[in-house]
Amino acid sequence: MSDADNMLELSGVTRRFGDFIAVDGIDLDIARGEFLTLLGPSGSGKSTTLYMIAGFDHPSAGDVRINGSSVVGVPPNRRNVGMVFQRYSLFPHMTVRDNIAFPLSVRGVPRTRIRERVDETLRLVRLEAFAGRKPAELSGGQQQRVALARALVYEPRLLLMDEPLSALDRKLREELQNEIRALHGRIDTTIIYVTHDQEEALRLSDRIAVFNHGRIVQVGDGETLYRQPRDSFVASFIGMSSFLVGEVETLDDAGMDVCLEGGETRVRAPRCDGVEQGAPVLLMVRPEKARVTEARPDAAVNAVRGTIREATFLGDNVSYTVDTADGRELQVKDAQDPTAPTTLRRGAECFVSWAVEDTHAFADWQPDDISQQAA
Amino acid sequence: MLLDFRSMGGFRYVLYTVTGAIMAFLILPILFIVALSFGSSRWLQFPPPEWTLRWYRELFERSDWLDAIITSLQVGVCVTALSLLLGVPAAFAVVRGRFPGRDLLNAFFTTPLIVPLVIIGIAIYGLYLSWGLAGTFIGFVLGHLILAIPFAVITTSNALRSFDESIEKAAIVCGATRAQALWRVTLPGIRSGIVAGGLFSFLISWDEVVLAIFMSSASVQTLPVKMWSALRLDLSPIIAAAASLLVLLTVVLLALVAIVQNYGQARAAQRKEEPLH
Repeated sequence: MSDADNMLELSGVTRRFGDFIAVDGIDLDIARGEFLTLLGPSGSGKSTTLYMIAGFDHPSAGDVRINGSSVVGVPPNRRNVGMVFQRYSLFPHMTVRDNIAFPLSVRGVPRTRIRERVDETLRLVRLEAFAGRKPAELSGGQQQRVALARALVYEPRLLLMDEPLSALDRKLREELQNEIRALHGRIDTTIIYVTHDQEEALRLSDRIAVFNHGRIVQVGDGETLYRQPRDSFVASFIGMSSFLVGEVETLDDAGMDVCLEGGETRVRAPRCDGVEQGAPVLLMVRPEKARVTEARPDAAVNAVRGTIREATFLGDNVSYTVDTADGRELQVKDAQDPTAPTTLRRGAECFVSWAVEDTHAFADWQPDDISQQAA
Repeated sequence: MLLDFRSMGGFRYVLYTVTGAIMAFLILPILFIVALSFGSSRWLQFPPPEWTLRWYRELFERSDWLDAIITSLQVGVCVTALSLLLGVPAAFAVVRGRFPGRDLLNAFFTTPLIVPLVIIGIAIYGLYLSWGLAGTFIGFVLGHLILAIPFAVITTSNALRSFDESIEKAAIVCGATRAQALWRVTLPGIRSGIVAGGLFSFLISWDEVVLAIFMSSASVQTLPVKMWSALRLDLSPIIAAAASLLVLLTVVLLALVAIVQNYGQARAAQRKEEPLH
């Protein structure tokens, strides 16, 4: 299935450490010039996958192809990929200029050409003024920009980034996210970016591959992952979500009626794959799709009775945490009329309601998936 | 803070006195011998009746003393080179290696620091007699090497442990071969540890006397051995001059170690205070 437009192809890539399967048969194609993020919690296999692409780790099975040809067995220094590490990993005894010149120098590029090229790259990351400094004399953000420059100076066909911003504080992180995004627009390098931060993934990537337990659960752009999560893990890992558990009562072509635990409330949901009558089902609602009302809404929408545990005025919205009678917790982000949250205070009885088509249903789920709420 | 210096009141002066006394205790014998080396008395009279440089002149003019100094330097340089040549790869094995018995090997490399010198001396004496190495130049070098290697291994492996391995990986992914990454990135990165190991190796050899006594011969003598035998034959102030020379070189080398290890940090700290534009 080799495609000329693919920069990188992973097919059936597996990595075992003894009995433990870190990466479990991954298939992934990355197009030329694409910005793809490997997103997942720690230990989900995303970093191991990146290290196999770089050549520091080797698949137990499967194939890694760069530009159509297999690189299994090719050492990292012969793969012509660039890499930015979590802890900068600059050469401490060299100046910024020598750090950036290093990849060209080991390639035997003539001295004058190295000078030109390093100057260009320094300009690209806006570090001209720091060329003579040692890494220890720079701030964290500047060091990571040097690392970026060092990885870009030899124009690698593939740029790998392993949680490059996780050591920086929030403000600097956002600044560098914008810079990386802008850089990707200017140079046409394919970027594979690893992070556990879903917001960072959404901000940067063309496409996101969500990892869980060594497998890719879903690949798609951020909007698709948010609006059509394939399973409960993706639903809980990307964005905020509220979960309810119930049992399928009746099933028809258009949807299904679900009796929630406790047996008192019935809601309707679009039909999902793999459900049967009488089987348990997991329902999910996004906080911004739900409303909190005092009176019972009309029967066309789904509604659940609850008690307000927390009501917080946040300027453009009011954020509620509502406890249901069955002990579930619902998040609601109400942006309808945030100026008048007068009646619905802590401890008040209320109804949480949402449209049938905003209900997501999953036939299979792991209990820890729904506690996987994004940090 | 409980032990804040300013809140101590009068007790502070007690602290000054005790600290001063300890320093005096440590340094007085050395000052004493240095003073004697400049004294004019043939019989090491103290305080010296007059000052002179005569003993230093004799030290460098008499061929038996000069030979001992040169031998000591030669042995020291050979020990330093061999100690690093063996110690640095050993440190890599102990820090980066993944093999059974690695921690045992690490402990093994430090045993010469724990085993009493006299025991090593006796062992070497017996071995060298049967191998014909007793009192030879090679014999000195190998004997001192036993004592020096632990220092090379310890300082290098400490530096290597604090050197982030992903820096070496970064060099490789940049296109460097393993050898290039090692030579151009890792070794310079742990330079201060290697230099310290080398200087310590030299110093161990430079003032080593116990092992040397067990195998000295008339033909090859290091400076400490020459002093030891001179001490037993006649009590000349040249010994004091030689001793001062030993101390001087030791102090200079130790200062060098301190400077090498602090230079990078001090420079970085200073540059960080400058405005960043």
